[in-house]
Amino acid sequence: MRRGEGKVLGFIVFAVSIILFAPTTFAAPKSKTRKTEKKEPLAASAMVGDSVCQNCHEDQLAKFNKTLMAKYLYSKTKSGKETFACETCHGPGRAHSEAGGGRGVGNLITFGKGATTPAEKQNAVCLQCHSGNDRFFWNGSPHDSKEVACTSCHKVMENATERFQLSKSSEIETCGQCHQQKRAQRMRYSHMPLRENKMKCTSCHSPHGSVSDKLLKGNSINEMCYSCHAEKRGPFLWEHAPVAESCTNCHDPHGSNNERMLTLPKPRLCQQCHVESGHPTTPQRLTATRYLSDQACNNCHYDVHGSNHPSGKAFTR
Amino acid sequence: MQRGRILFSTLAGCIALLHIAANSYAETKLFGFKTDGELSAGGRAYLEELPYQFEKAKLEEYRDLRQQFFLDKFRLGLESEDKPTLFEIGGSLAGQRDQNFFLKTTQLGTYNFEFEWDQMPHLYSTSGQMLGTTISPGVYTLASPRPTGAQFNAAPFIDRIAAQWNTARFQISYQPSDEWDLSWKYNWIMKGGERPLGMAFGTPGSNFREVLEPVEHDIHDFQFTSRYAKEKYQLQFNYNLSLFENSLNSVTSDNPASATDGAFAATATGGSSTPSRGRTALAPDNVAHTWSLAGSIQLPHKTRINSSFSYSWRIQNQIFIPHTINPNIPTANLTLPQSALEGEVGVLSYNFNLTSKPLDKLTLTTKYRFYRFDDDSSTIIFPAYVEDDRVLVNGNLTAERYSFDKHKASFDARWQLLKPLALTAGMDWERWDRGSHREARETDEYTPRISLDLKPSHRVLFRATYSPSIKVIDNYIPQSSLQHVSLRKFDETSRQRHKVDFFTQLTPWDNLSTSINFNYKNDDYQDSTFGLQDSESWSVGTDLSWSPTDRLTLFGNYTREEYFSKQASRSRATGILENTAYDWVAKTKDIIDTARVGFDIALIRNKLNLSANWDISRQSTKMDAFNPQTPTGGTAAQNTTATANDFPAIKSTLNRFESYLKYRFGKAWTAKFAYLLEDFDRDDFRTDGLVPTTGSDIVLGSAPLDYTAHIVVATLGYQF
Repeated sequence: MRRGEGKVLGFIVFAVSIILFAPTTFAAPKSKTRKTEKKEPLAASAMVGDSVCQNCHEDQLAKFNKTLMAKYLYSKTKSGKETFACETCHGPGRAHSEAGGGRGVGNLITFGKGATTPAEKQNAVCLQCHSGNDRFFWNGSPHDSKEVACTSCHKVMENATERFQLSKSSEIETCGQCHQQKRAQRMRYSHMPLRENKMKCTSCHSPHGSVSDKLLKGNSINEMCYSCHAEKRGPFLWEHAPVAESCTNCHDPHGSNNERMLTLPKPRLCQQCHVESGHPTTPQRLTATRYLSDQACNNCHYDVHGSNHPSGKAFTR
Repeated sequence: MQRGRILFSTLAGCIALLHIAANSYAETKLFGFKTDGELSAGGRAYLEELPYQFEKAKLEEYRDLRQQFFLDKFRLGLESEDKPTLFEIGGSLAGQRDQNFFLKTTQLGTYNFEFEWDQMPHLYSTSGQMLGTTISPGVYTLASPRPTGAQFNAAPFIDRIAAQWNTARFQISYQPSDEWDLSWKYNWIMKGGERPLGMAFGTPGSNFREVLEPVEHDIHDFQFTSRYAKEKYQLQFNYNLSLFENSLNSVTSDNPASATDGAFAATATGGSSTPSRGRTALAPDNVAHTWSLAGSIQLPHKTRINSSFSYSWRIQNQIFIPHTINPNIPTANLTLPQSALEGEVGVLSYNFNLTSKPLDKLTLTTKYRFYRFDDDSSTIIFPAYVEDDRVLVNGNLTAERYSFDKHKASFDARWQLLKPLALTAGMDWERWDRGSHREARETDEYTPRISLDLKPSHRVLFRATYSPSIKVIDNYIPQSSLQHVSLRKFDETSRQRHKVDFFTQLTPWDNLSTSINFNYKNDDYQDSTFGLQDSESWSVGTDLSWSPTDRLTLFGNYTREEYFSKQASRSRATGILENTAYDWVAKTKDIIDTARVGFDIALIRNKLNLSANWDISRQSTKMDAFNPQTPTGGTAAQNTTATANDFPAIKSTLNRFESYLKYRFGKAWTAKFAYLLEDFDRDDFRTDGLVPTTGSDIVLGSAPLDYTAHIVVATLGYQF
């Protein structure tokens, strides 16, 4: 593909997709044939209101009332749901209350451990209000595809963590429920400051969806790294091509036993690609301290991320 | 100690004031707001003797664990009753290098303002040694005549080689209506300090000297986002401006082996002169503007389309420094063709995602992503250059630009075969088009994928995925005459991959949950005679959490990881480039065990809690190498140089035991006593025992050293 073609292609596909689908979409609410897509309003007759729920669930409501969500729901600012806060999420409660309550009675929407409601339906409830920010890309995201429920990672009914109502004490513990290897990697010799609580999983990842691979917040791996390491962004006079393509060609951002989170120890890391002549091709012996000790290859080739020195071709200046 | 007393008195005063304030206002409110908050303060001390300063590099790599009094945490919250308006101010670890403060005010559903000030040290070394004088930031001189090796070895220690990261974050978001959401973010990262930097001089004896790179960086990141959301469609626009500023543009260091610039000795290709000093360029200032537009539409049949378009424009135009500061190098060919790069890179990306559920049991997902990195900077041709301020090389040298395109498309179909069983099948295709300036112009990777999700009950979950892939290339053309024709760079060559992921989660009872995961990946670079040939990794992990009573929770996890890689090369000395007896193979293996066990127990309900956990991480890296044939055919020295051997294992062990006892008394007081034991041990033949004079090179000798630290922390907290 030639330069410029990509931009044109991108614009065309984007424009066509908008043009093709927008009229259908905007027309949809008016069409009587689209009934299945219309959200059923909560039938007033099936609702009982929070005062009834409180009769049996006083403890839960007492805890819930201290949460930001409760404060918002009861604020009367916009929602108008202040008297039906419970049923906003759990669905109409009349059948449940009239049957005397009990787990699984009355076809309520249930959440969390032991929930019988499918994750997709649970999440749809949350997305009624929380569809902004990175939830924009929730549909089709890896966690959506795996039917991970919002309540697998978040608590709703009580204040749990300082931010984001996480189901575990911290983000890394929450994510580590499934991503156990990544959680373990923070303990490695060379690591980013996750275990010191100066970074979080969401410093780089967007668990609710993203346009990038690996649920990255940025548009690419490198763009994400540049947000804190902008000195590596360049462009440089002398570029090291694999560096510009992906930082992960050489680094494991989740931690490593090698210095600077390298995927392999030096000099082997560099020798994967440098089979030229002279010292990069020699296997090196313990006596070859210049090529092994301290920063190894970087003792001389310090500027491997790119150099702006006119004579920086070999990244030694 | 005087500082400690003052701080302690201040903290005690704060607690007393807050206590009075809370008692006064808790019922009567403050300016009509309900108040709540907390304050805890205390001190940290080392049991036994303090670790020596030079043992602290790894212990305090990203944190401040000095023996001192500190304000552990404080927070004051105000809340209006009629409208949910919240105001919160707080912080943690005040008075330390890793302190944090925040200020927030929110009217739920209308606006949110947040400010955060965060500090973090990045400590590289506390055992470095450096001789000489720093006459200005980044300019390091040595006495003439140059110091001897013994004098370098007796150089004074540098207490801290560190860069302090201070970050200010502002965020304002405003929702003028249900549909609109506007937000502004500004982050300012200030980095100050230094880090080790190696500078090559190349003579005598190909020497180098390690000095300190001054770090005086500012990163400004401004972002504006606007969203418009209706039930059926959403639009989002984003603009991001990122600026990087480096206060210094170069580092200059004297050559430790030569106090004078040697006479220029001309050769056919240029010539050389032993430099008395060298100068290297530092990272240039740069700017990036990024605009993005995203849209999302909900269609019939539970179909949703997300699409986004983004363009980033990166600029860099810092004035070049000259080729050399060696005055004896003739400058006839060293006039710079232009004063700066006029660097300009455009990064364009387009994404299209479609998710549809045409049938209740069928979910289809299609994705396409196009990413273009277009380096449109000037292609500069230099008539000559100077290697390490020493060797003049005449002849045109072109600074190439590297652009590439990347396409990725994927399709997944998930079929809910039975209520508890879902099968997903899919395929990814990824193309890299790097153009003719890289070895492989075009690579295509195909990744079929099948996964099974089984959830027979809400207490049992199994997930398994198998995703093999094959990467093919059109042609591989070495781009440098120096590069061996049989080398295949791992990121550009053909590859066969097998990848398996397995995860199971069991919750037999509400108070017991456990999970097991297993991951395996094998990459076979089947066309690589030289370069990376094989890479394999696997990991297995388990996690357990059990609360036998509502007062006791036990938890633990264990992960074992192994990584293996095999690479091949040929020792190529001048005049003996293609001796097959000089081939060598290296095998590198990492084995890493990570475990954690711990418990939380309420010894007296709502009064006395005890918590403890122990983490251990053991890591071992082994670099082995051998020659398939005994190296022969060259001089004895060449044969020796071509002989591969094993290196000693690089091992790290971190033991971390942390426990605390927390006692609540009165209505709002908490006393907490914590004990932390950290024991770190690392064996690395590359850095152990380094002294400044290493052969003909001068290093800082700055490797982190082992440590054992016993730390106790006592804090007193008040909550209102």
